[in-house]
Amino acid sequence: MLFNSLEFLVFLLLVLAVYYGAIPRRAWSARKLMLVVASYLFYMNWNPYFGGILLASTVCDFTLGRLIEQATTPRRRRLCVVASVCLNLGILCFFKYGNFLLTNGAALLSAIAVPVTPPTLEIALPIGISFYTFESLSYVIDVYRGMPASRNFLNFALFLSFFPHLVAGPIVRPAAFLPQLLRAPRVDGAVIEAALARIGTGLVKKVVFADTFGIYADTVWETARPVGWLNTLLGVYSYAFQIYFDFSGYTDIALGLAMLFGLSLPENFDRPYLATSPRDFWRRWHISLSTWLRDYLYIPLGGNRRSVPRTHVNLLLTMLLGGLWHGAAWNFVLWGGYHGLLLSVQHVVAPGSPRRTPSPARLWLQRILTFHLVCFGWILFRSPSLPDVQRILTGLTSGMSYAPSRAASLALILLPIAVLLHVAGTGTGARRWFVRLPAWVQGTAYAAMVLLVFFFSPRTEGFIYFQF
Amino acid sequence: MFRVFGIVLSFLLALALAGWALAVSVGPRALADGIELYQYRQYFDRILGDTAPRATRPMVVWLGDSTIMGGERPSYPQLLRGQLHRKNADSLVIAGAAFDPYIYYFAVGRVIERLNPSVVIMVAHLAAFSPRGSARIFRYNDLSSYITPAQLPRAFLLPLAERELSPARLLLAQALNFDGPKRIFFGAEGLRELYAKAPFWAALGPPRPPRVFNPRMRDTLTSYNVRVSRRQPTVRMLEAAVRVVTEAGRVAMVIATPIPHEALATRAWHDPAKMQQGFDVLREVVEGAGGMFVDLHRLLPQREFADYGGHFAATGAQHMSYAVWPMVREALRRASLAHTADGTGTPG
Repeated sequence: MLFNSLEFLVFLLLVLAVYYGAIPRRAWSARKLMLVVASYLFYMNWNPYFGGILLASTVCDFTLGRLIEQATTPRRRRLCVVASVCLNLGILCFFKYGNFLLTNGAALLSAIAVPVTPPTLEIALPIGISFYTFESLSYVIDVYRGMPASRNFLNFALFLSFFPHLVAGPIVRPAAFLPQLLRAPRVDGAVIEAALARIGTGLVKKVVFADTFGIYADTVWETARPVGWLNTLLGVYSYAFQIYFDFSGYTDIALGLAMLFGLSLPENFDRPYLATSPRDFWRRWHISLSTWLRDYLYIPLGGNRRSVPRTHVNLLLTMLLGGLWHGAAWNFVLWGGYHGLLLSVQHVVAPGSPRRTPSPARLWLQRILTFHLVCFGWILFRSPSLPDVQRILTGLTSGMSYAPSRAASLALILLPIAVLLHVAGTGTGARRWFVRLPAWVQGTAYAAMVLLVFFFSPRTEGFIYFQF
Repeated sequence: MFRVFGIVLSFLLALALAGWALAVSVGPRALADGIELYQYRQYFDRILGDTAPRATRPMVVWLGDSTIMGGERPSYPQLLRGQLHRKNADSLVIAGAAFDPYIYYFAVGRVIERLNPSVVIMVAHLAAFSPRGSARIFRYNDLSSYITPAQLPRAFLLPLAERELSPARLLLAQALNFDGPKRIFFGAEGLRELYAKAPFWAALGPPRPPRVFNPRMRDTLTSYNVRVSRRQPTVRMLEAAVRVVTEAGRVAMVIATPIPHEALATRAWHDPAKMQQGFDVLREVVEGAGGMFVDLHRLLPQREFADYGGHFAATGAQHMSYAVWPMVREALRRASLAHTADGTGTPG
C-alpha cells in the first residue's frame, strides 16, 4: 500500500475515523491498540506472512529487554544482548542476505576448485525489515546501556510497527518515541494544518519530481549502449534528484502522517546536496541511519579515539556495512566502500572543523565538488553491475552530442526548479509560510496538488527505499 | 479547528469544480478512451455479464493466452468445436494476450458462477512463469474485480504482490462490479490517457518507446529460461485456480502448451532435464489440486510454430487438436461421471 495510492487514502481515512471518531481521547490504550492493529494490517497488505515476522521480532526483543533489566549479573545482561543481536541479525541475514551469501559462497568455493551448485532460497524479502530490525536492535542495546526497558508491550509494539515509519523509516530511536506514548497527545488545528502541509510537500516531491526524474534516469541506465555526454550527465543528475525527492518525499509523508496522530518522528534530511564535504553530506542525508551507524557501530568500534589507522578502518567498516544495509548486492558494498574512502580522505585532509567560515565562493565550490562526488557514488549505487558502471562512465567521457526526448526535456525543465527548491529549502520556513495563508487558499492549493498527483501518477513507481 | 474545516471545505469545493469542468469539457472522450484502454473488461463483461448464456448441456470453457486466441487461422479449441458439438457439448474460448494463471484465478470463479461449465481447460505456457519484471508480464489487474466474494479470504494469502496487487486493492477492485464506480474509473483513466497523449508533449521531443514483448528470437527464447517450483507465485496461482474449479465439482484440465523446444536446444543455457523437472512440478501441483494435467510441451516440431513465442502455424493448430481431443473427451467423461455420482448441478 503505497502512500500515494488510492487504497492508502481509503485506509488512512478509515483509521483516522476510528481513531478520532470511535475511541475517546481518555481511552489512550485503546487508541494505541487500534494503531497497532492498523499498522499490522497495513504491513500484512504486502504479504500476510510478514506480520508473523514482525510480531516474532517484537515479542523476542520486548522479552529480552525485560530480561536485561532484571538480570542480576553483567554476564547475563551480556548474554541477553548477544542473543538479541544474533536473533535480529540472523533474521535479517536469512531473509535479506541468504541468497547473496549462498551464491557468493559457492562462487568462492568454485574459485578454489570446489564446484558447488548453491540452492536458491525461495523467500520473499519482508518490506522494511532493515528498518525495524535496526529499531529493535537500538532498543535492546539502549536497555543494555542503562535505558529503562518498556513495561508496556503495547507501547513497544507500536514503537516498532507504527505504520508511517514501518517500511522506510526514519529509523526511530526508543528514547525519542516511547516517552511520547506515555500519555495521549493533544492534536489541535495547527498540528493538523502543519501535518497536511508536510504530507502535501511529500506527495509533490514523490509524484511530480522523483517519478519524473526517474523516467529519464531509467532511460539512461537501461540503454544498452553509452549515450552522449550531456545525456548521461543529465541522467546522473536525474537519478541524484530522483533518489533525494523519493526518499525525502516519503519521509515528509511519514512525518506528516505521524503528526495526524499527535506523534513526532525524527527528521531525516537537511538539504543534503548543499553539503560542503562528505562528512557534512552524511550529517544531512538519511540522518536517522547515519546517526544509528555512528552510535551503534562506529563509536563502539572505537570511533576516532584510537590510532589513526584504526580510525580509517572503523570508517571504512562502518560505511561498508552501511552500504550492505541497503541491499544484498556488490554495488551497494562498493557504494559504501566509496563513501568510507571519501570520509577517510577527508579525515586526512581536513581532520577537524574549519577555524574560519569560508568565503561564499569557496563554500559554493565545496558544495559543487561534494555534490559531484556524491553523484559518482550514485552511479555505483544505481548500476546493477560493473559493466553498467563502465557504460555510464564511458557515456560521461563521450562526445558532446545531445539526443532530445520528452523525458530528457522534462528532466531539463525540472532540474533548475529542483536546485532552486533545494537551495531555498522546502522545509519548516516554507511550510510555516504556507499554513499562515487563508484557509480557502490552502484548500484550493491542496485541490490543485491532488490534480497534479492524479495526472502525474500513471508513471508512479514504488518508493526506492521500500526495497531496503 | 474551524480553519481545518475551512481548508477541507474549500478543498472539496475546488475539487468538485475542477471535476465538473473536466467532465463537461472532455468527459465523453475520456470515458471512451478509458473503455478502449481497458478493453478486456468489456470482453469479460460481454462473456460474464448478466446476459451470459448459462449452459444447459455440457460446456467446455477454455482459458488461455494468445496461443488459443485464433484470428487469421482457427486455434485448436476452435477446431475442436465441431467435434464437441457432435458430442452434444458446447465450448467457449476466453483468451487474451499473455493471459496467465493470475487471470485464470481472477476469472474462474465468475466463469463457473455465470456459465456453469462442466470442464474448464487452462493453458499453461512456460513463458508465463517468468519472474517479476519480465517484459512478458502484462498485468490486467483490473480483472481482479471478477474474483467472487467467496474466493476473497483465500485470495488474500496468494502471492498478489508479484503483480502489484494487495488485499486492499482486491477489495477496492470489487467496486468495479458496479456501474457508477466503473464509469468513474474508466473516465479517470481515460483522462490520464488524454493528458499523456496531449499534443503539447510533442514540443518536448519524441516519447520513450513503450516496453513491449520483443518478438526477436533471442529475447523470446530467454523467456522460457525459467525455474518452476511449487513456491513460484504463478504456480501457486495455477494451483489456486484449479482448486476453485475442482472444489466447485467441475473438471479442471491444464494443458502445458507446446514450446519451440528445437530452437531452445540451440541455446547454451538450455537444460532439457531441468525444464522437464519444471513440468513435473506443474503436473504434481495440478493433480494434487484434483485436476488433469496434459504435458504437450515437446509435441510440435519448429515448422509447426508460427514464431518463437509458442504461437502455432495452421499445421500446428491441427496437430494440437488431434493431440488434445482424447483428453477433452476423457474430461467430459469424468464430468459426466461426477454429475451422475452426486446427482446435482452440473450438466455432463
